Amino acid sequence: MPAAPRVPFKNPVVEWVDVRLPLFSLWRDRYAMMPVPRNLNGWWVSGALALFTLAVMIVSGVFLAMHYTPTTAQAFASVERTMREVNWGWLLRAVHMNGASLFFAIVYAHILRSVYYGSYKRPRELLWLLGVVLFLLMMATAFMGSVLPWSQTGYWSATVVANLFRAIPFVGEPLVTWLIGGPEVGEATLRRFFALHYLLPFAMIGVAFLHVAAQHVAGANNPLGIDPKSPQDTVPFHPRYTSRDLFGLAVFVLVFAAIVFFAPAAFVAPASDIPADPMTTPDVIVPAWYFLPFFAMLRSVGDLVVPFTAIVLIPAQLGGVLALFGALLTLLLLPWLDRSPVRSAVFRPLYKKLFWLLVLDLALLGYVGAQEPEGLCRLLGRLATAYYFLHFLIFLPLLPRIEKPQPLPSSIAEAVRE
Amino acid sequence: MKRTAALLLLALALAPIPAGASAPSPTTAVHEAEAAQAPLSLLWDAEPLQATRLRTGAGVLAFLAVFAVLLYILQRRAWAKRS
Repeated sequence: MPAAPRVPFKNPVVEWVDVRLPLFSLWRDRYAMMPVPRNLNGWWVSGALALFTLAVMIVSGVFLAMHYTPTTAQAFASVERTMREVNWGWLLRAVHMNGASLFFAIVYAHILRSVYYGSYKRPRELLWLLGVVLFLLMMATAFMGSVLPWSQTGYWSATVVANLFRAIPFVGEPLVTWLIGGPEVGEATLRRFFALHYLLPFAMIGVAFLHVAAQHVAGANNPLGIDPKSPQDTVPFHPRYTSRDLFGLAVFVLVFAAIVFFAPAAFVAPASDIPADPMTTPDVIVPAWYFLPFFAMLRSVGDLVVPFTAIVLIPAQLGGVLALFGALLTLLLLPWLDRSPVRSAVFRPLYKKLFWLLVLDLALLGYVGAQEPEGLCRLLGRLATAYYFLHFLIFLPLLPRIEKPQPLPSSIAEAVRE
Repeated sequence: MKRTAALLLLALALAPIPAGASAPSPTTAVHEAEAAQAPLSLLWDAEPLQATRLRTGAGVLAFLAVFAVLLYILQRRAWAKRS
């Protein structure tokens, strides 16, 4: 960016600081006065909300950690003590537990918005990649956090996930031993999960900083998906979008508080109020709702055999792991799979239909993930998993050849006037 | 689970004695008085601070509702200004 001549501040203290460390200039030039497309809709609040939720999770988590004991003998009891004896401990835990669910809800909305309006396309590919890295870090953090109360749910989901990695040929077994710190999930697993659960959110802050920095270089995308061309296409970020973000935040916190105070157990898994018992396997082990689509993919793959023989090329367990990691890897490749020069689905009639089919597909996977993998559900799971890959790997690359996009408006200002 | 059990017991304790049932003897009255305490004890056991939670929640929601309306008005004003 070319350095603009520095405009001095009137307030002498502000000016003194700003000459030495340009924090106030940064705020003025990169936020307050920053030109932003004038047509952003409500979905553009989701980024600010995600950042806010990350902060809430870190603050509530730090206070919970003050009362938590990461040993298999005391973890469950220390969490119960937090709920009953610690001043406002029940509130901290309700905020942290439900915050995880709301964090995923917001981030899923944020991702789907980017997918609908083509925000991952040139020049925002790196911005998208950093976002996917944030999503992966978030899933790892959430998973390890769910193990910490050392309940039946947490212990057994850790065991199930550890067993997944065993399916990887050759390195699976030593990899699992290395990851969980022993042959089985136990003391070492709990302690390292606690350490990493505390560490990764700070890594997320670092990646989120780069994510936001990249966003400020490219500027915000907008519902039309066309670049601003003149000052008429933009408005300063402050006060229009600051006030809108604040209003969105208030509504979000209202929903958050309603859940925390009046339905704090809304997302709690059935066996999470029973201490972990390695001798008793629970009847059903279902992950949190935000993992369900991926869980469904994991269980939908069968043995891959050489036709007309009983020779198993890829066993079902390994196939499931490949599907799961393949689904996440596909997200990383999205900017290069979708080659259409038009960003927004608003002007892509076929892509718009495919987008809603994908949403439907993910919802179906989520439903299947919560059911027993047998009969119709097994079939639906397989079809939905296949469709996920079909969408990203076949339909998206082929789409520009058959789809005729609608004409783009000449400018944002013109489109807004109409 | 605990809460469901407690609510079930509460419902049982509050259920009217069916018509035609014999008048309770003094002993059963004492038993029933004690039984009526049991669900409350279970409720407390499940979540000692439930009353605090609901009371605080009502206050928080009331505040946030007013705050959200004010921020909505603020947002409307910011957008009403000529660009």
